[in-house]
Amino acid sequence: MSQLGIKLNWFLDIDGRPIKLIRKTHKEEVYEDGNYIVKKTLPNEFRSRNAFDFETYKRFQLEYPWCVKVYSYEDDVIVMDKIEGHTWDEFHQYATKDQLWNVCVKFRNETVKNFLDFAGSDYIDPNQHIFFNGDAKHANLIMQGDKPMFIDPDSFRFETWDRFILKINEHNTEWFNHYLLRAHRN
Amino acid sequence: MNIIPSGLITTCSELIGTRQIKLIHKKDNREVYEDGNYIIKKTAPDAFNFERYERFQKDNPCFVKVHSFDDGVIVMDKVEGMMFNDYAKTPTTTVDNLWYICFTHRTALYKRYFDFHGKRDIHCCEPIFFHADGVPGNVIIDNNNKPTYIDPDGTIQIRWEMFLQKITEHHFVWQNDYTYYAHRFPATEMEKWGKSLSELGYK
Repeated sequence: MSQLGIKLNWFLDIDGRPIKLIRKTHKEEVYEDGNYIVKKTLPNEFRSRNAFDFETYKRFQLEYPWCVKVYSYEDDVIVMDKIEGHTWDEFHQYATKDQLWNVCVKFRNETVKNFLDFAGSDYIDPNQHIFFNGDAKHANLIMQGDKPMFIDPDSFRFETWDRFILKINEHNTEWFNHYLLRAHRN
Repeated sequence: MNIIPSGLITTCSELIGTRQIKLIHKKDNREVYEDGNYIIKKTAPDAFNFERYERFQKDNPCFVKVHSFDDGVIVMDKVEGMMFNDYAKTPTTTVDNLWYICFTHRTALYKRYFDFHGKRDIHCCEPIFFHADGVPGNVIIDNNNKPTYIDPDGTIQIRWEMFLQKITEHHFVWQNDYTYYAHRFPATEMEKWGKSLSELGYK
């Protein structure tokens, strides 16, 4: 058993490879075995937001594979692909301004369009909840060459329309700031 | 009969030929005429930098083509199509069409402003060329969903931080219009709920 009580048979299922703890906070423990990432999250009763909606995430990821593939979610434990690549802090050091634009503005816009498309209808009622990545920030992005991939699947959630709009504006501004800083004001 | 400002016919006669021109807009010291093919705008002699505009427009045909700028008179193409607000309300306009105009195309245009500047490192005092009035009211959409930015004298060079504030302002204007027409349009709401505007709480 790990410190948060992750059953070790999770890892026996992963071909018996050795696992290591790569991150630990008061809210989560993250392990990896070379192929998979295993994230132990807080039980529902201790979370400030709703539990990870695995079924909705699965449907979204299938349609929009720019977010990490998740294999299972049981007993507050998420098993997902390990994404190899460069972190944002590595990427922005070698990226051209066009590459930076493609991630910070073009790709960012596409993700927002995907959230709206996933909502399913043209008309959106203000009481409707929209499924989106509530933590679409650079720290949760891995660059696989020119292809951006969002990790941290449990930051996807349903929010009301007004909260969704405010959050995407916050993230848009943050990404645009990253572009300006790294492309033109470094 | 409309009064044509003195000098206009002489300056533009080559383009306009003998066609009748009519006044279509007048505000303060600006007058706008059209002759069927061209728009003629009488404005201030220093209204914009024609040479710079021409260089940008050459690679960015989404800006209206300007043929001449003499003594405050701009002669530009007449753009056929619908003003954005009319286009957005048209039933055949899809959410994807609106997204293209409001986000995909607009942000690609912003990219061209950065590219047109030419240098990667931009000093905080450097001026940037852009359309300072690049809002829905100055965009015409043609039958192929292609937008054209009119009002060429809305282009200016402005210092970096003012440029950033302006395009951020424009971003919100476009985003609000997209959200309204694509997802929160009262006519669609009426249709969805089968209620009148007053029943839905609109005045």
